[in-house]
Amino acid sequence: MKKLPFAYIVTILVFLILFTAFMSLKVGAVDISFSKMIEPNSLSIKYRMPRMIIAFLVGINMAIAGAILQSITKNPLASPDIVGVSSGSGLGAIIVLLVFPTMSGMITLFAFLGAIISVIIVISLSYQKGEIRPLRLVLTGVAVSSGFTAIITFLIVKYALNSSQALIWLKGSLYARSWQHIELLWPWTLAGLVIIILNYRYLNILQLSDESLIGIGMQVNRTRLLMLATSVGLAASAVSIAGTIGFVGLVVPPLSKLLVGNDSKYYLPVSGLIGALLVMIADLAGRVVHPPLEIPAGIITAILGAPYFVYLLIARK
Amino acid sequence: MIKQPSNHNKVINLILIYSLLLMFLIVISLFSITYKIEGLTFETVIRNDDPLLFYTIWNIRVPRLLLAIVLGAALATAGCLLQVITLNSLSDPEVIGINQGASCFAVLSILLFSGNQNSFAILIGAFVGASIVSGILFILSYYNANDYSRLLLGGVAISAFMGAFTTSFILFYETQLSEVLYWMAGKLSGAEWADNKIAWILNIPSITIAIFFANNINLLAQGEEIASGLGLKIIRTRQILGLLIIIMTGSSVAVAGPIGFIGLIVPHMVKRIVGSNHKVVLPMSALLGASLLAASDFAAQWVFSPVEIPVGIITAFLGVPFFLYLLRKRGGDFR
Repeated sequence: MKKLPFAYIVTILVFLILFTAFMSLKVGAVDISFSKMIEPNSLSIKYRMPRMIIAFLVGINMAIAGAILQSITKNPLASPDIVGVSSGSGLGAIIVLLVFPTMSGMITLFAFLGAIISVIIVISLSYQKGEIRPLRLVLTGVAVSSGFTAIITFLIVKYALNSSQALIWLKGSLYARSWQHIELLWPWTLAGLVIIILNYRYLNILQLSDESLIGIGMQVNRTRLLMLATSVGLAASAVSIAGTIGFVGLVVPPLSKLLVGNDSKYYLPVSGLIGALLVMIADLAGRVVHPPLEIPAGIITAILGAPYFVYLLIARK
Repeated sequence: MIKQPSNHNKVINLILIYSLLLMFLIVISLFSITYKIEGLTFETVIRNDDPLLFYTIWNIRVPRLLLAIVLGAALATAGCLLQVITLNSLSDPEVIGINQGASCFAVLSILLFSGNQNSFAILIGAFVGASIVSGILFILSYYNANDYSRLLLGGVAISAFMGAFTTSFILFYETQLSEVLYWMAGKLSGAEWADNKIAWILNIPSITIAIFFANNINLLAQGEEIASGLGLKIIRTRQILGLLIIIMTGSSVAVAGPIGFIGLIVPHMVKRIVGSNHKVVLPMSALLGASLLAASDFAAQWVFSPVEIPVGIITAFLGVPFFLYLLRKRGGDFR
């Protein structure tokens, strides 16, 4: 497939994002006319704007985290969901929601800790003989996730009272997210982006074999660790705010490589933009499809993402 | 290639193992029927002197136990067959997404036909779901003829996809949430004779047919090239086995919700003990699966007493470490 010009694609994506942002502010359970939208304290500014911004940030975080993971593991199937970020943060959040409901301010912190712990478990279990085999990483992630899911189910069954809230959280919803959540999220996005802008070249170089990397004088493990930490930080902060919005980190990077090729200078920004667009659309769709009921954004991304993932499996012989 | 137990020692060993397993099953059964029932004597079990006791034994404990036994046997056999047709020792109806597909459609029919009463609707739903996922997996395997780990990953994605749908169905019908959730974790409580009827009628013939096919399964386990070289109709065999898997998994999900990892653990343990001849492996898997699920259900009832937890959680706690252990042991080789 002929690669399209980079600037062309970025322009289209930015335009689409702006359009989606506008629609997110305008439509919903109540349609708001254009003149009312710009009033201060209107429904749009107060409730829809923060959600939209969080969707934007979460999309960027998840997509870039996925892109980094896929290139350091040299595995197109790695993603934040699969290395355990989602299930770990889910468990952390559920523990707060169900076991200590009085401490609901701590959800974000616990979700973050849960994500970090579960990534550490997955990575260390799949580390064997000095290397991390991609397939083993994925399967270990799957197994650890099902273990965590079993614990989550146990908690939900035991504390059946509050479980619908927990369930919505687990599926990644942006319901009732406010400016205060944005405050928690944007520093992570910014820090991650700065690190990745400074280091994007390494992602290309890391595609070489380990021998060549040592040969050209690179500290392979340190670079990998830095990249891994960046990726986990981005993903964990996103899921701790928005719940487990799945498949964004998995399907966006291959899609953007399809569009602009394998140079990280091009596919990283495009991944970020597509990720942001995808989550914004998912959130918008979740609000509009069946009002007043909301479908969590994570369900929409899973329904869009999983078939594409299966297609990737089939297409890559 | 297929070893018949030629000498006496082998036969005696096999008989010994079978009788040990059978004894284990009987002990577990007796325990789970009689545990914590006051004033139980042999006579009260048989004669209807004490109606409450009689009811507890014959309408609560026994059907539940029998259901655990038949589902354990069916799930273990299904896992065994699945590992052969996917040529991947990590396959399990739970891991590969068949359970999720079946429960997605079963939940849909519970919600649409308001049907905890309507077990037929749930059954049909579960079969439809299991068939759809198996069909997708079949197509996937057709495109990735030589890469069976991809199949596993495809299954993982499908199970996430189905899970997303299940959750959104549940969210649409929030009022029935807790009963659906409990069902989804895999449960045997409240098992009735009607459930048993469905489960036994569908599963016992399936297990028997699977055992009849043991020779072909042995060939298939050698890999497709060898199997077709030896004159096996591969597509036909895989289709029949796939159908058996759909029936066994679908009916289990329909009566008890998705119960994972029995199909993963049991075949491995059996193969460790008696080798890889499926003539022995299949019946023994069924027996061990029955014991394991009965034991897990016993634990699910009493460990956190008075709270009863779904048996699927117990099997997941057993299965996940086992899966991780298998992964580490195998190194890079996932066959």
